[in-house]
Amino acid sequence: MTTTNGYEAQNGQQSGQQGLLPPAIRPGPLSGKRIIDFTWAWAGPYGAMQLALMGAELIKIESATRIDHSRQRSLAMGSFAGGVNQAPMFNEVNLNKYSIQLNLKTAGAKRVVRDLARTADGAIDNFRPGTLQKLGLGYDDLRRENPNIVMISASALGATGPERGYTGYAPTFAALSGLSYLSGEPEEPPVMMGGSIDLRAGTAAAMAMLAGLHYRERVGRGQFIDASSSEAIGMHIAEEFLHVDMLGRDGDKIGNGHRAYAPHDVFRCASMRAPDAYRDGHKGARSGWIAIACRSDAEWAAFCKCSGLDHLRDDQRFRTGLKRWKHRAELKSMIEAWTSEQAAVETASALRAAGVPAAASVWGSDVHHSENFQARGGAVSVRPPETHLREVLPPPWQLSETPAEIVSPAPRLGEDTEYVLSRMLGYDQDRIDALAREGALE
Amino acid sequence: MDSATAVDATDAADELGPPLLAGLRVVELAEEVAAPFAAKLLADAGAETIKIEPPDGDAARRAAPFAEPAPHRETSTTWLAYNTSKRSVVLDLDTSAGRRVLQRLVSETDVFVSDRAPSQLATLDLSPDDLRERYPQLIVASLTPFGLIGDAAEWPSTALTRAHASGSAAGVRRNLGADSGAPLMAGAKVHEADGGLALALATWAALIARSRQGHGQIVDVASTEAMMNMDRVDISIAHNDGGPPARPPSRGGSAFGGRLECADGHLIAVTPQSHQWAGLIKAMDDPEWAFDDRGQLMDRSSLGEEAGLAIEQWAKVRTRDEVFRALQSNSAPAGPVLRPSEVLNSEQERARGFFERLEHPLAPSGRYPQFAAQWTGASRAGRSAAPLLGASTADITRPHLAPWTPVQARRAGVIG
Repeated sequence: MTTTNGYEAQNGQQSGQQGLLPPAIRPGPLSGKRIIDFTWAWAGPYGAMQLALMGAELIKIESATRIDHSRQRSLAMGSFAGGVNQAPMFNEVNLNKYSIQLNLKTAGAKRVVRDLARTADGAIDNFRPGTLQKLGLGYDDLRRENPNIVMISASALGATGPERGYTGYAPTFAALSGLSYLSGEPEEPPVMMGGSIDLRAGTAAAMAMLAGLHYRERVGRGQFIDASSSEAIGMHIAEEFLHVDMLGRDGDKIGNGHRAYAPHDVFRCASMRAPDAYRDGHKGARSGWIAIACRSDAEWAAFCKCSGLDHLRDDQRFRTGLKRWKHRAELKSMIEAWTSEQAAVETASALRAAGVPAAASVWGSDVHHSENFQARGGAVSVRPPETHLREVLPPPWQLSETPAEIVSPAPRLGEDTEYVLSRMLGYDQDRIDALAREGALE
Repeated sequence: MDSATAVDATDAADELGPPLLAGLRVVELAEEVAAPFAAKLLADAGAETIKIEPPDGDAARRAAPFAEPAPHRETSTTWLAYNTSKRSVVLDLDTSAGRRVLQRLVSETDVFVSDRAPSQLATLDLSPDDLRERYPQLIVASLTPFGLIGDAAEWPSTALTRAHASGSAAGVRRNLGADSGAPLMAGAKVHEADGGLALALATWAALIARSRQGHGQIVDVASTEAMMNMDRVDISIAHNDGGPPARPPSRGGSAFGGRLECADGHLIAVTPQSHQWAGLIKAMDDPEWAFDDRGQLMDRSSLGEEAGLAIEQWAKVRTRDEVFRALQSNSAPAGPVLRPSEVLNSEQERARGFFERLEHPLAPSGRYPQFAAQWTGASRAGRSAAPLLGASTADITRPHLAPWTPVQARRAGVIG
């Protein structure tokens, strides 16, 4: 079933199955598309969420027998004290989704998935390769129900090759891709990267899925897509592989530095914002950092003038770009002597006005309060069930004709089981009761 | 997994269809890394991609390091990495004839990738809103540091200031476990690539909408927002929940995960689930300290620091590969910290064909990564190395130069 446009789908003209609810009409370029979401943890759910933010109907398959661990803990925080419906980690990567509770080890639950596949445009999973096949729910199984389905499996190292059965998390993807080796301060051990690596892998998987869905629109056929989360990070650092082949050596860590420019670093400030920007002794007032980069003599001159550090401009050690780079350690301490008495946000603003690339280095609420973020519309408020109002980041892309919309917080575990079974699939109450007795809905 | 289940799907599929974006046209007006990365992804997928360069070329052509000791505009590794499968057309956009040629090229394309600020686009008569009206089918794919609207759209910035303005650099520091150190950029050009990947993602969404509804649109991506989204979970917890405390300093493999020092480098082991922890203990040949009096595996929270030290000592006398295989064969997630040269030569990536050797007329041959996914129903587009500066100028511009010939136009400085 291909829906050519949302309105036809809404009228049920293309659902192919009388009485069933076709994919919902929502804002976004994927309105009217239905995707089965088998993903868990961070990478897969974030990738699937991109499709949900674009208007596709994402039906997340969950089970109390195998709870998505982002409902319970995070690698960075350890166990989460609240209940499975309150975890902030889960909410951030599962917005706009439906949740159906299915124990895939039961025959009834498998039947439900196969029925869903008939009405779906795609499916996404991030199991270890082979897991869904063993359950009888792999690509070949779903394709028997729906020849044109697009299915993507995103695993740690891909579905082929000698290490296809290996498992991993964000920090291991970064390690295996070469990125960890290149990250950190010079002379320090490599950095163990965190959750951002998962979301990069998820973005790559989402792009691959969109390419598959687009291909289906153009060429009229579905396919299986095999994605590797480690390769997703590897493709972010393509030039490092060329270094090896063309220069005969691996690259090295440069932290905040640059191979040609100085100053090019972060500098400690007295505070994030000027004291009068805070009410009630805002916590961020304790510390602040500013990033400053000068790429030319003109930017260096502008920096010296704006900062009032005119004597640096006259200093022979810093007269040319090359000299500044050679003496970058001394330059850093002299600049930091100045920034350590300044507020990061206001100083960065003044430097930019003078034409010098500069930014306060922000985190948490300071990200939300930044002028550039506010100018784009700022955060979106959602209220996940059983917890408090949260301000979340919108997606980074704005589409003029098919805008994204955050329409719902992440679902409670199994929140939509009844809805999916009775409305989307047209099951009657007897059938639903039978599934429950079988343990299929656990 | 029993062998190659996923491959069966490939074998069983019908004949491969055309490359993903065969027949599509992209015009790129962008420099350095971020937006060129997005256009490269479209080009590698088979879209005919025309890169517009100024007479002295994309700034990435001047970015060190170079494949040879002396700088050369064709051999910057940054340039080579982010411009595969494209055609290069040199136009002097300071001339009205040059701008006119660009207008014509944009009028005939499916996607216009730009990293120019709104004021620069206005000067070129390429404002997204105007383009949208003139060419309803066109997808204007814009990637700028802070988006197309608001004062920040014209701010000066570099990769460094963008990574810090987005929270992305603070996120890297927080993962190191220290609350007080300076926020830190991740290695290579990862933060910049974030923006490019987000633009490619959103552009593909716009292509789907166009296939279904027949019209193009403006895709406005702020690279800083692409970066901040990568840390959206932790930023949200910091903003909405007032926490969490930064990750405690890594205690080897004793907690949920950590960095271990092996005989020949570092390895990351991450074992948040109890069966993974059990696998780690099994990989170590069931040391006594991990079990209670009744021989039951103890909860790791009750083990204390000695467990971490024991794991560290176990790893220290083994190679990364030994530890990696021992852990993975017991379902404990782990990965050696590989150098890029080791990734290139890993059996896994060789078997998957992740790297493809491309030849270039002036730079040494090199192995370029593919996209991180294999579409089993579509043919791979034939990729090519980055183009020589202006290699396709005459071919592409000839129809748009009338009454001039390319030679006359070059003499007039319109094209390069």
